[in-house]
Amino acid sequence: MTNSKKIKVAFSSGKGGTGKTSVATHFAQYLSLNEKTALIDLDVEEPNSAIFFKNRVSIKTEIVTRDTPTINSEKCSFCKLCVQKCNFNAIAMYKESFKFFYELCKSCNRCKNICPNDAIYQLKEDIGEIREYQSGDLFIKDGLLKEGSVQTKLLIQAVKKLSNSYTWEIFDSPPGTTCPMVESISDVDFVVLVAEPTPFGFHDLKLAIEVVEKTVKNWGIVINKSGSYDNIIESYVSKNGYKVIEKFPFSENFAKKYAQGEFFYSQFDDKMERIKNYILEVL
Amino acid sequence: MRIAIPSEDKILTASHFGRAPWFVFFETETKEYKYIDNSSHSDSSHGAGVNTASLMLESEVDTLISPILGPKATDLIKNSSIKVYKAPENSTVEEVLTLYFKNSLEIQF
Repeated sequence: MTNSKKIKVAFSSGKGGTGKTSVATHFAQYLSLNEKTALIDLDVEEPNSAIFFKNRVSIKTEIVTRDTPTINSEKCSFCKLCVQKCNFNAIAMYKESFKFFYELCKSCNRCKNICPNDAIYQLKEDIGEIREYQSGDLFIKDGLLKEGSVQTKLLIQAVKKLSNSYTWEIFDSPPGTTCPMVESISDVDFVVLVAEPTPFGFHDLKLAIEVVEKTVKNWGIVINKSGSYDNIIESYVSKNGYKVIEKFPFSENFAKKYAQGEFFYSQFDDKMERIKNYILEVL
Repeated sequence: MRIAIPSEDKILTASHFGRAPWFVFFETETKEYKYIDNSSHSDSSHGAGVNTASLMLESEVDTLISPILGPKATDLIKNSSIKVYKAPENSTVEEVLTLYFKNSLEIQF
């Protein structure tokens, strides 16, 4: 394809387990049959999109680091300018000793830039790794946060940075409605909220809608595990003028295949096509 | 000797060390009280414990009677000569001092 337009779509949800990964992986797989597609798993705490692609080939694994400052005591005059100017209170200094609290540090470099004695230099801290795979024509990338690290947002940003250009970039968001989820939808063209018709799913869907409405212009809902309780979501959706783009039925067979890490929505190419066309239509 | 106690309102003890709005300093030699405004630290969105702990070090506090210290404040104060006791919940500064002089406070570190 020579299509130069680039479309970024995030599959998100408030609740975990609604089927973000299921729908995102199948959608990306479907798109990749005809168009240049990348599937980007932004759930860096539990990346699992790649697991579905059993024929995947690992292309690259790279350690991601961030800058963490420290002080050269021989150059330092202990003037405390860095302590006063740090917006995150990450530095403590008493007499001629100092301590950095790296869990508070945002690697902004301010302390280094303002130090009158040029006494601050940067160390590297591992925050995790990014991994790239190829499965057929589909490019897959994910990140794995280092255990104990709180630099989720930084790692998500690193995962999102692609070296090649794709017609479709499909993001699998982390669950919830906090910073990692917001970061995963911060610069996309369209958000697909994957919703589950249960009281829990409905509750968390409303939270997700609140975030999505403030963050992106174009979004829609896909009901997964659809069945006799869809009304929980549908009456709310129609009351507020939102859009249910597509539904995927609940089936025990899907759950079984999912548990085995196998594709199970392959017979729904027509549904994937309709989601794709809806996105293209509104953009 | 200087004893420091985090306080909500100069009378009641605070429920949190790093975010205590006030600190009461009691000087054992002169029996004097000093009230230190900690609001610039207690209101900060990040690292209140770091700044409040630094205030203790800079103010040359000898003894601190406080609710359980957070991990960052602990990190800074444990490496100093300050002795830290546990303040019982919902008590007044006066009550805490009385308990201290009766030797009936639990030691934090």
